[in-house]
Amino acid sequence: MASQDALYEEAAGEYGAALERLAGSYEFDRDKCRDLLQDIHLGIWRSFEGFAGNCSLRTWVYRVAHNVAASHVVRHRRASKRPLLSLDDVDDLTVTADSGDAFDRQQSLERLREFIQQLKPIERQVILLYLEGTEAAGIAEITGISAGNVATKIHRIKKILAGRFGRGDRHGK
Amino acid sequence: MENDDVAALWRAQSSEGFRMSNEEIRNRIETMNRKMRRRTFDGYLVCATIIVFFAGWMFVGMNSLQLVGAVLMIIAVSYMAWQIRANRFRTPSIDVVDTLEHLRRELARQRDFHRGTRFWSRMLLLFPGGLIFFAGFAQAHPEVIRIIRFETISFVVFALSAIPLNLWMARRYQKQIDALARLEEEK
Repeated sequence: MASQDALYEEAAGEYGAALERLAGSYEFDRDKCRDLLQDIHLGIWRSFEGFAGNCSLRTWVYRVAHNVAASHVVRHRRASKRPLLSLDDVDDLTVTADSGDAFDRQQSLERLREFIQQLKPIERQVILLYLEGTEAAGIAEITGISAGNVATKIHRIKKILAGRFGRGDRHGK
Repeated sequence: MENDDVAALWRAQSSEGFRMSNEEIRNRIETMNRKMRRRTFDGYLVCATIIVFFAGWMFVGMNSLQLVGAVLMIIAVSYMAWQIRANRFRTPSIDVVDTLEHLRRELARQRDFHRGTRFWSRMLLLFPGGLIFFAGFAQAHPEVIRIIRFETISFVVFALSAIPLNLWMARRYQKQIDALARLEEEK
């Protein structure tokens, strides 16, 4: 088995960008986001002490990263008065301004981050893993939700994203 | 824009290429340990100050009620100091369980701070000692009974209002745990 440092190097190289996106979706504030990202990296490094190769490196890294981020949400919830939403509470809001050629990518990203930040930790993780291209089975393994339940949530996510960001959901079947 | 485009847009975000060197990681761990030692020290300092305050009264002269109250307070604060000592080197655990389980543990930990043994031991240790001390003080100094009455009422109101407030917090965490349990049942 590779050393803790070597495993961290591999994980940071492979999933570093995804971890940055993850931290960015939990914290808008630049400094807090940086702190969270450091905590995630530190958590991953520390976790490799117990890595026995029972699951893929990707599953391991995402589990630790999402768990550190989920703890961050639980611990900092008291500071925020806005309640977190489940996917079922979110409107299928159609925003026509984004559906044409004059689509502003940066603005859409901001809105996507805002939308993700409204969600409860577990649903936030499902959408983040979906956006990172993780299969339903992989999401189920990382989050602990059944594959069927994940599929239902992904269906809902696609519907919401199509309503908010697009002309329609051609792949949401 | 289609869903695949949204996902592609998400993944195309610019990256700073953040990573920590081994030295940075060890420095950060050392900083965390330093902060933990500082917090432990601060906790000891608060406990020591309270103990010295009540012990000091013993030398000034006390009636038996005050003495019982002061001793109870010293025992309560010593117990709290012992709890701080027991937790001093406990670094936050890194769970590599699935997120549902991790969240459940995290929420249960927060809930248990607001109810159960941890909460009631704090209340039962601090409340009677303080109350008895005030009663003894009122007996010893009837000339300042109004001030002592005000302090006692404030103390009682503060302590009693902490009970529903903490139980309400615990219920909020429990609701979130129940919501996670419902997700698990759907497995």
